Amino acid sequence: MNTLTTIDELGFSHDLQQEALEDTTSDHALLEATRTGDQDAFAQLVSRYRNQITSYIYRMTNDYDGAVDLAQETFVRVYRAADRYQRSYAFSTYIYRIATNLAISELRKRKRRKLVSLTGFFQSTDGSESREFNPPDERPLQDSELVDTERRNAVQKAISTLPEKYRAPLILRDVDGRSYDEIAKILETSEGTVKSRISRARGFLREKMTAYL
Amino acid sequence: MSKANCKTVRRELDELTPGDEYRSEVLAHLKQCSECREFDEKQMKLRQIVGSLGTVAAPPDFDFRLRSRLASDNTRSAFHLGALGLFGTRSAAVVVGLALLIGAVVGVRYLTNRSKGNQNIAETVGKEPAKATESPKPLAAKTATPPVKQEGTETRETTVTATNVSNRRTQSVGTRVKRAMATNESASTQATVIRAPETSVDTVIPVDASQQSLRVSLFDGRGNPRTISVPTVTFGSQRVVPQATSFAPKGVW
Repeated sequence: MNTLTTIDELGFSHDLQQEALEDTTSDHALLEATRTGDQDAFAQLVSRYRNQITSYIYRMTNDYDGAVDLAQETFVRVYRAADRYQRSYAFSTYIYRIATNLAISELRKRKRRKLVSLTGFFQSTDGSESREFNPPDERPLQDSELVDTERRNAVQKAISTLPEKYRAPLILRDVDGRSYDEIAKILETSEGTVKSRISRARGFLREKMTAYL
Repeated sequence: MSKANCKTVRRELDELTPGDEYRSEVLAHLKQCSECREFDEKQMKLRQIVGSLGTVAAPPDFDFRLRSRLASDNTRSAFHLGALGLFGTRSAAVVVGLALLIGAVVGVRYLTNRSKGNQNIAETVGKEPAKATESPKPLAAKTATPPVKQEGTETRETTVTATNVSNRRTQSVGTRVKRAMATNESASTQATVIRAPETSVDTVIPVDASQQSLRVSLFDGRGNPRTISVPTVTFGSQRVVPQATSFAPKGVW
């Protein structure tokens, strides 16, 4: 399983902003054009969402290669189901829902396969998922950049040990900055449930990240 | 400060979007409650750390891989769709019906051929003993003649396999037939000599392994004799083997 450290070492920027949308065509219009066979329209949709979707799935699964595969699968499904797409909600909600479902099913597959890392012997209190035992290094670090990197690693690991029902809303809210309403639509649940799950997720993280807070 | 109030304030803090302003009631509560203040500070820091994770970029070949994946999917789906289009339910039923019909025709033909074949075999089996009883002698003569000559009457008996087989058949049918025999006297005849095909090309030239040099005497144009000594040409093993084994005679490798 890839860890965040590996990805950071690869040199991906953490402050990558969403690509500036030069074309003001709406997602709906692009998907409509895709439906009629316009390959360029679909390419534009891909370029708009590829980073967001890859990043979201990576945060969910903590496996970069797997995340790229699942992101591609997300786009393949969008392409195949272009005819069945309904404009009742935003395209971003639609594509995030597909990505979430794929990521959750991947997590469940892994759980069935019992792919537990060597350090993941410590079970969570609710017994739902294994938790990483990651004691914080108490030694003082000289470089502030190193501190930031380590903190990010720790938080990514902590997120990856959260139960999946808490993980998705937390990432969508605190990493992607989506509204409660949108998250509720993506996860097909009520806004109240989303809020309570996010609150629980933060509680878990606070426990794990005490050394960094 | 009541616990219920703390719970409400914390929930509100939890739901706040970074950058939003606190309500005056919340601010007042935070001034008084150190626990909630600490909660708020930790919460803000945590959200800051989580938010700093940012976006991880897709690999540069993402589009290329996606395109190839879609292309392969399209070819697969096109095949399936084409197949479905070509063979609808009705046409599929017609094809299946035709296949069954062809199969039935072939089956019937096979069965009829088989029964005809059986009939022929039965007929031949029924006719065979009659033939054998009618003319056993010519058969025996026929089979015996090619390999051996018949001279005289008193000789060894040579049973020919062909006649044997025919006899067995006739016996199995039920009619007793006199065993056909062929005789041959081979004492006075010359035995055939099997010779290998003559090869004129393969002549064996013995190699003289002597270590003496070859001397040739010649006369030049003026009548003077000249002796030329040619040294022995060796090919490596010629000299080694006789020296290595003391028991081997000279000239034998």
